[in-house]
Amino acid sequence: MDSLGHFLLEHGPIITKKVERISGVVANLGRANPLQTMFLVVLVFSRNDSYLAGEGNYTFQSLLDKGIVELIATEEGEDCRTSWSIKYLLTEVEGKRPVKYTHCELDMSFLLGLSCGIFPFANHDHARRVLYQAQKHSQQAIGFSTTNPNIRVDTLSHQMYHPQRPLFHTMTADCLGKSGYPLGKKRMQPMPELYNGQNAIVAVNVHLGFSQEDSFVMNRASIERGMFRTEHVRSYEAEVDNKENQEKKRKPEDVINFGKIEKSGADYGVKLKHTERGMVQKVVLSSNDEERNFAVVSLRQVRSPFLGDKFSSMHGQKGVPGFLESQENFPFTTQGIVPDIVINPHAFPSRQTPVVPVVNYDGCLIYFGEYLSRGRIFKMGGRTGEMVRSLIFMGPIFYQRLIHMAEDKVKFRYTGPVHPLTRKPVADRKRFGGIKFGEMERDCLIAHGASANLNERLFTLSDSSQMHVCQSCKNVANVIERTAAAGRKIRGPYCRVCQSADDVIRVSVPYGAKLLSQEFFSMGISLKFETQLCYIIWICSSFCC
Amino acid sequence: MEGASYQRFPKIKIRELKDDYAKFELRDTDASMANALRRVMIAEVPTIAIDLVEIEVNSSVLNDEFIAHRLGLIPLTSERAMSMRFSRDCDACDGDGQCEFCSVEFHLRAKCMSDQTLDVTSNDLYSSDHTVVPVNFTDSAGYDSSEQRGIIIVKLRRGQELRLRAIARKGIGKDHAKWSPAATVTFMYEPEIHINEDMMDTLTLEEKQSFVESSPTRVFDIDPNTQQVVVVDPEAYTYDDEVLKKAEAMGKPGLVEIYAKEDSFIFTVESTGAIKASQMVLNAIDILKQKLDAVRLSEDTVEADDQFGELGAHMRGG
Repeated sequence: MDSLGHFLLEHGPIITKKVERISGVVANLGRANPLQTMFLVVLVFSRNDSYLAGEGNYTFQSLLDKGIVELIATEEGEDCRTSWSIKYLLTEVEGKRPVKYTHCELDMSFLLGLSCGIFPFANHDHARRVLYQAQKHSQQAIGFSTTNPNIRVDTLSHQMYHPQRPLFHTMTADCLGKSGYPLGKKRMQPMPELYNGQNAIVAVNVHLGFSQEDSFVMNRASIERGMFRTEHVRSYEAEVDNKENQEKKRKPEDVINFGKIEKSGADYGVKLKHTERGMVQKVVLSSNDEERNFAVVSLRQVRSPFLGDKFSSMHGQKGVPGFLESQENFPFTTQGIVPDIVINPHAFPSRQTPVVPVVNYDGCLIYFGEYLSRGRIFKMGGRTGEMVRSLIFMGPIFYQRLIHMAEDKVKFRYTGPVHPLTRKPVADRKRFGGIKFGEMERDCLIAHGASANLNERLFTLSDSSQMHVCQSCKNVANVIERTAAAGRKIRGPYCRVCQSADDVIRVSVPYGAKLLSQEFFSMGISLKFETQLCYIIWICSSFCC
Repeated sequence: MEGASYQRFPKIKIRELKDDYAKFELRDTDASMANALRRVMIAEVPTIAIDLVEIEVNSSVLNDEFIAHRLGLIPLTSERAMSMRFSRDCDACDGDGQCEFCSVEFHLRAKCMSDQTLDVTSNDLYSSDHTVVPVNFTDSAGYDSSEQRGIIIVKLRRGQELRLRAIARKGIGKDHAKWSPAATVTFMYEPEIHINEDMMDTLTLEEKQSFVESSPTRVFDIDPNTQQVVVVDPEAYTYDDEVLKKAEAMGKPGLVEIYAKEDSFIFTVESTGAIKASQMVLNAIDILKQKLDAVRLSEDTVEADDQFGELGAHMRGG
């Protein structure tokens, strides 16, 4: 298996061709991803039986050359009669003639892709949970992705401080190891850096009220000792016009001075978003193919788990920490083992992921020797020291830290930028926008009868504005400068229709309403405003259009 | 003084005592006392740990935060910690390491000049105070004593350098786990196991054997001479209820009865090496006493007696 992977990586993309049976047209299907083809390798069993019968040391290459093993691309696979495993090639299905297979999977787990193949006990999971892990969580989990993090300038990169090898891994996962050290030789396992997660001691229990709805309680001491600590590097790039730089030779005293604009006057700085922060990891000055100079500044940040960060086991069981509890408050075993994570038992019945307990049980046998019976463990309550009168499931479970973290998602606003046209607060998080108070939220306040609160939320704190209305003709009165008696110039609201300013009053309206009336006005439609004196002093508005 | 006295006289019997390990029995007291002792040992016995790090040069592969975190977790010998001041309570300084009452300064200078990878360990930390040094594990048996192996901080390759100043301060586990002297502190209730001999006699030898084997830990055994089931090690019992379920499955409920003694506890205490395990227990008792002093009612307040009644008498130790 391992040599196969490396064969594919060395030979790079493979052009696949498919011959349509009926038309005989050869369709070039383009380049296949080597990793994808790797899992579609099947064994052609019908021919060359004599080759296999002989004894000898077969390399993968020799099997390939003889046509014993074929590389099959995705589209090609559609036309193959592929058996699940050798077992099905040789056994007859009851009452039916044996199926004439053309190919056979090297291993049953190759039916699924790479990301499905690397987590254990997928066959115990509900299909949807397998997909969650294979498609979403395995992509989002933070690991140690590169061997050269210090010289890279990714826009965003995450690295886990102490990745661990899971207690259980599949054959496919073992093949991820170095080419020099396949598992077959010396039983060498891949380095822990290849896995993106840690083995946390997980207890299935309720802990106060902090583990409701897929939240869980985390051990603060474990976090302080470095559990799930990750490093995040974000790079900012700015291009520079290199007019002056070309003429002028760079002198040694031309050092970069942060926070100071060069004499040339141009500021090429990139502003941080208001929630972003970090330490400068490195500064790269370079130029691109068009010989434009650019600078990249990388900011580094070290994060330990916090409330609202996302974690997941390998079985689609995602959750967030709801509380970071001190070590001494957790229940403990007679051996002194304290859980790192306490998850709620409600996460299991409806999801049908018995796998977590399976890993748990078997994991326990590895971890704690003979002490545990059926993965359950007896505990003492940490707060009172009294015995917990039930057995608690506990054991190591491989947990992944996902890239969704509370710090990247905080959104709050007291006051801030407004939309230039509507004068409503902007919604964008990057621009210090607000959280939408939508229709359903409005309904909620109405249901509560909280009209003052509603008025404040939707009007005062949004696009409150004022306009003038003439009470006698109901038209909008604009502020103009006019000549009054004795040639005096007066600037103020004036009704052009009535030719007077006597009945003009000021009303509070949402800016949106005012804008609408002005837009109508520009089309020759004049809105009339029926106004009424409002007896509640502080609500002084009218919505009449 | 009227009313019943609730005062008890707890006893401690030491079973095993090593520098970093202690096992003892605590008797004639209740769970609140045992648990208070456990909690104080984990969270409130002070030690000294590196708290501030000023990095001068760091060209290693690990970043500054990583190294600072690793430094913080190195246990330092903290016999002095009980008499030391917290930086926040220190009048002499503002906790920047200038003051000998509340802080200890460390220096680390390492540069790799050879082609071989250089391990920077806790042995490279130079302390300003010879009583506060990184814990040395080499003297304990089992390690190769010829090699001075400290706790590894970072590995340097040729040309890489690490230079820093670190300030260690007193603290408690509640503030940060690095200040906790406890590696493991746990207790168990002493189990009391009664075998119903009459009922046991009705079992065949095979049944006895399967009963004995049903316990995941070796609690029971069969006496080879009398072929009777005997309790070999009651403390091996982990309250897993397996034998009770086995008895029920065999149709013999009540074959064994197991109780947890409410007033005796078996403690296992392991230390990180910052202070001796025995000292950790003693310090915990001291701290517990200090905490109780804070709530103790004074001897002569009559109002307190009216207010709290028996509780007042109890708290005064009458």
